[in-house]
Amino acid sequence: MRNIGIKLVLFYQNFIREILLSLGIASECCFIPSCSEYTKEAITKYGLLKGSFLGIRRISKCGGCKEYKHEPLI
Amino acid sequence: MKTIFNVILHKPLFNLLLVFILFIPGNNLGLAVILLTLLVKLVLSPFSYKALVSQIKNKKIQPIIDQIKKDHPDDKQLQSQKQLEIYQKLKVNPFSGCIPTIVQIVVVLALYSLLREGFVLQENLLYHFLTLPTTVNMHFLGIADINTPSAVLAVLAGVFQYIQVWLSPAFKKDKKKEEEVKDKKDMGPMDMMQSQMGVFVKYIMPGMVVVFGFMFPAALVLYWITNTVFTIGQELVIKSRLKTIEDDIDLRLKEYNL
Repeated sequence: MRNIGIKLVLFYQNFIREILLSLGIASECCFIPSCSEYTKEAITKYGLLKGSFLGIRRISKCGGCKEYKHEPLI
Repeated sequence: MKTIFNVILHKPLFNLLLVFILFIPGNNLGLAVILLTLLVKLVLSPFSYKALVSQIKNKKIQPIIDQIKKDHPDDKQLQSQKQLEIYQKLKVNPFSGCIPTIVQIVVVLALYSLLREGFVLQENLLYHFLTLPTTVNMHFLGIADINTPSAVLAVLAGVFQYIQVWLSPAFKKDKKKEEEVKDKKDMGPMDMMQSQMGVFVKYIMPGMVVVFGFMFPAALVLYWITNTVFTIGQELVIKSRLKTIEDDIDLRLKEYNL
């Protein structure tokens, strides 16, 4: 289960994000580590269910920004 | 879910498109689609400009970030802390976060839902302060009906897509990496993936755009073309300022001996 989640994040990072970037559509993540990286770590650490929840919670915090914010996984 | 989509996406976009149709002499749907696209892109252009600039800066900083990851392979916390320090020192900032991306994806979805079966004047979608035009001109640039697919536009979309990706700073990164790692056997799985991605984005994607162009109504393809041409313009502007942007980051790199 965990692996499926991580594979999905990797698919986003290497495929969807790259396409959006080259289309000039993508903007950047305000957080370090980025939301996808954070979700990946969270799934590795806490499993698919809780990890995805933490990931979604992190993404929903996105409200635009002017500088990077450091919010590591705890 | 469907009603929410209707109220917050379908309906506003329908009315916005109608405003353009009403105010364009000749009530032309094709021109309305182009103007609508330009409006969205113009509103988002400060965001996408900054995003492009930081893409270029990030590309320059990437070796330093990679080095940090190599130095502290097990401590993710320290990695991101050091990364943040570098960004702050070099004054690389993100500008907007995820909002412009979401806006553009949402507009594509709403336009798709509006145009996929042909544009129809629907009274139930109308806001009360607007009136339906008596006729809508579906004729555009020699295309008889832009609610049907057009081969010319499909091919044009593919050509512009190729140019756009070719100019994109995000794509340049892949190309440089490919040159650095000449022998493909030396590539790690990550580099391999990126190199495949480069091929995909450069050649397969424009091809896919053409295929989709043959399937979708010309009005939708017109949206895609306008979007792409606008992005090409942005990329050309960035390109003319590339040296200033790179010099700025080089100066800061020197200042901190990085």
